[in-house]
Amino acid sequence: MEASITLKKVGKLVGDKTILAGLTFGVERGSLVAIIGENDAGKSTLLQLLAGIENPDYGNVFIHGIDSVKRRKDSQRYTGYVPHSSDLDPELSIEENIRFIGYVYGIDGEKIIKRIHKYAKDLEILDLLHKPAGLVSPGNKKKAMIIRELIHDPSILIIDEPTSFMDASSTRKTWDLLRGLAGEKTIIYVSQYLPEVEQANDRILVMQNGKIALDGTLDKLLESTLQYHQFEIEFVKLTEELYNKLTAISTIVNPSKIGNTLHFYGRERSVFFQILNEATGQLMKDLTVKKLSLRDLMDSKFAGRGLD
Amino acid sequence: MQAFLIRRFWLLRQRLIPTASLVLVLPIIVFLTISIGMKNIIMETMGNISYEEWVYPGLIMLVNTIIITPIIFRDFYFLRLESQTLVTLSLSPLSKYQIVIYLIFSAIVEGVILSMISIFILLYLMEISIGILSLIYIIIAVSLFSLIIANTFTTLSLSTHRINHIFLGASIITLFIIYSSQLLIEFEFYPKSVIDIFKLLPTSMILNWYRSMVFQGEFNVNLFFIPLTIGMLWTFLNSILMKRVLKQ
Repeated sequence: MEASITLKKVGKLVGDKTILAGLTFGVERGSLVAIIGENDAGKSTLLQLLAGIENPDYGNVFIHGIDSVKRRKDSQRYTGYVPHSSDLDPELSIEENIRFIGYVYGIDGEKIIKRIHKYAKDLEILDLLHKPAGLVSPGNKKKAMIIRELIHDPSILIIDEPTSFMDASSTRKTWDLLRGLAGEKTIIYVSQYLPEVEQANDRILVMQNGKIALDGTLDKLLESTLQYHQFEIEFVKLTEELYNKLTAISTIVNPSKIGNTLHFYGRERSVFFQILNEATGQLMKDLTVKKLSLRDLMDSKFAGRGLD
Repeated sequence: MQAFLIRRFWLLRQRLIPTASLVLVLPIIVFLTISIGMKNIIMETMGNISYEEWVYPGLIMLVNTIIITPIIFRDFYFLRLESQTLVTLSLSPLSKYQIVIYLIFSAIVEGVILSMISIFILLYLMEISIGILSLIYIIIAVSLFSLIIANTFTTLSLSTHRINHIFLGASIITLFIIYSSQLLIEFEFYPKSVIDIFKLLPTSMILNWYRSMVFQGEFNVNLFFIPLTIGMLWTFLNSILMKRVLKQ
């Protein structure tokens, strides 16, 4: 499949700190790509490089084969960038904010109005179009920013936290719109809200210290963890002695103690019976066993040790 | 360019009452605080022109400066640092030069239109009538003056990250322009060495151009084209500055 975005050994430094370290990857046309990672992993910087807000210190970013630094204006025609916080002019109405950008891109006035109404209807902000942006809630501003970036019909949509500040219904509507656009447009986004990344279920890039630590679909990423289960056993009294005794069991991975609850990961459910054996005579109050999720994958200690 | 003019119209519509108040009150304040008092101190200029007739172009430029300053500050400081709208605009297919020139020119159009309303009120209060030709000249002079002022405040707005620096810088620049460009006091009151420097300022050239047109009927090519060239060149330099500030 044809690549929409290609990065070749892209690096970004701030002072002597490496924000992005020699990233090389491609994004296929029409795909939906999530970038996740801890704070300061370099996610937003990567989006800013793709949008053209920042230039790489070394390496190249290609948008549909066009070098985004050498032919910035050509490459930017293909992209729409929605930042994390509002960048709307607070004194202009929502519609005026969107129309202005539409005019700047040279889009026909009628087309602009048609697109605004279509997307505003999808995202349920039709009644807010004439309100000054400064008086609109942050969630609705975010929707307006998404519409604004769709107004020139870019083939690549770059979004920093697509549903930040949004309530459940708005989040659903926004994802309905984005999923509808995927396939036709390449959508690359950063999100801290992992359940929505799991639901979107396309390609996921996990960033760690400016590098891509993991890359693949959710199923592929969790493949290595499928044998793992997360256990939570609540004791009536979990003493230090008992905790040390239990964590000495070799099949227990990444144990921790919160109050009287023992958390750990185990490759097989049978590990529970080993615990039972070691904790003979101790009263247990509750037990939870669940399969791992993206959140667990993001647990750096665990990821560092166990995701082989 | 059309998009930027429409945007200015939308913004004007959003804050019509405060803008109208400023445009109506400003000439009254200028008249009460400057014109009335100064004409009792300086009756006539060295060229035997009544002070009121001599000073009105300067007062018009002063009104224009006060009107255009917040427009420029908003577009290049607030929209860059507070709302980040300028960053988003920089991602559009427009070049930095186009963005800067369109923002400055649309601000000049709004500033000149608003200044015109103030001019009529000021001239009415000062009981001065000017002919059609003088009116055309003053519109040209105000536009040219706005170009220089807008570029000055664009440079200031782009080169600082602190609001107190903006206020300090704007106050110093405004005071300097008032006293260095014959807005209120003619050069004959200053030492010759200072005059030689002040005469080279584009803002004082514009006022000299207008006054020589109206009072002597002479079109001084240098006094017109030098400020125009400086203004255009400065706009280009501001676009380079914006590129550097936005790190693009």
